[in-house]
Amino acid sequence: MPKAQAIIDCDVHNTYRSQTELYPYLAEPWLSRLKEKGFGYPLETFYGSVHAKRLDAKPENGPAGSDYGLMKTQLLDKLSIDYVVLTGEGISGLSYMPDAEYPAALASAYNQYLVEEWLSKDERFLGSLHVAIQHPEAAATEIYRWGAHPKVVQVSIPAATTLPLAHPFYRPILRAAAEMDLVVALHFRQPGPSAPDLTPVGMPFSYLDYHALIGLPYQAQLVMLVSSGVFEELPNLKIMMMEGGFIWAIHLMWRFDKDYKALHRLAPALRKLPSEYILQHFMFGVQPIYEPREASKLQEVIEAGGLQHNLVFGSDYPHWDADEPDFIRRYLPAAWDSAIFYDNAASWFKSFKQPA
Amino acid sequence: MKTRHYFGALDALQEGQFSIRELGNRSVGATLHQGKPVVVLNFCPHAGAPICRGKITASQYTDAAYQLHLDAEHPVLRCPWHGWEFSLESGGLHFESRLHLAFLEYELDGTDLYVWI
Repeated sequence: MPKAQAIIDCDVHNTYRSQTELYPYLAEPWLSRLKEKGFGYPLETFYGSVHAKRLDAKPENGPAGSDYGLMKTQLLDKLSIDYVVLTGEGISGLSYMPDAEYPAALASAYNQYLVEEWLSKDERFLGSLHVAIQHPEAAATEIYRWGAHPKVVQVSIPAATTLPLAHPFYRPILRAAAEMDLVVALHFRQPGPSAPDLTPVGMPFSYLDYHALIGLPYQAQLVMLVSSGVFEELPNLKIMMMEGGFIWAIHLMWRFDKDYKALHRLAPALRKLPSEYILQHFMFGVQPIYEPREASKLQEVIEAGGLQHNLVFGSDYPHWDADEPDFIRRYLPAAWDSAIFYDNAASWFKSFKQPA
Repeated sequence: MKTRHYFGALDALQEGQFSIRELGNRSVGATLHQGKPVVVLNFCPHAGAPICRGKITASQYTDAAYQLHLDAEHPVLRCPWHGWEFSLESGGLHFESRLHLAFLEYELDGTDLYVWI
């Protein structure tokens, strides 16, 4: 039997059993605040008609994603995953809290918890830092604090932000990530108290609309990151867009190039076409995989945009719309297996680089 | 060739919830609907989830006057992963005719349920 394709799963949502697991890593006065008031923001904004997480992924004594043993059985061992990037769960709403210092302290506590309680458990685990993006200086400090850890490979931030990610306000975060060779991973988040509108026409009516429109903030971020010239300033900046789809990136490459040819004076820092920056500085998660009625049509679309070297696998376990590798394979050609399940991600994460 | 497997006592089955057994290397779920056994392969035809760990719930439909109704008489099995809803009676989905719950042949011997796999 041929050796199975090695797999890097770029999106697995680990979490703590309860907030008490963060207590050892939190200083006063934040510890008392967490004990008395909890996180202080809602985690589930929209009513979903289905469960938020796979029903079979919930351990007896905590939320789905909180039990290493069950994750090992259902994901790592069952699917023969070689590496898993832990992307966090409950902590992810802190960038939408209205204040700055408390969420920054929570992020710092979570990152230490991640390193001590998760990354040490299994040699297949890699880590995503969480930061409070409304406090860029503190976020950069976290990135410099943990960036050299051999198993920390990325920093996770929300796809929708109150200012474009390319705005100078956020530059300390992007600069720190580029300097520490961490990938910047964009994930969508349920909106908290100080989240921006998720569409240009206001809030979606329901979880269905929200979920179908998740790609919108990613598109806005991609365009302004490119036009701002930040990739000339930070040539090592790598943006991984998870769960937001990717077919729209082909639309943008064609549209953006066309517009740039006439309007290039408005993006004076650029030295090549926008599509070239996109193919060099962006990766896109394939989950949730598109499921066209004729599977082969998806391959044709991806080839039209030349995107097959910009796609990475992330299962999104244990979320309700998670995809296992064999399910994704139904829609993609076997010839791309190595690129999508391993090579593309390995070419970006610092843990896979040979020492200089 | 199919073989007959003992699933369990009929009176141990519950309406609204699947019992799950590993029989002949396959995972099998059984429940009762209007007093009759419903026996299915514990495998979602969409993406392979253990579908019998999903919830049995009332179906939802809109009538000709656009009034919304919940219909507990015609329940659906909602997959524990992607939430796709299969009719417990027909095994079908309302939006995709190609996928179907895999009902299994069964027989009753007194108060005992046997499944052919």
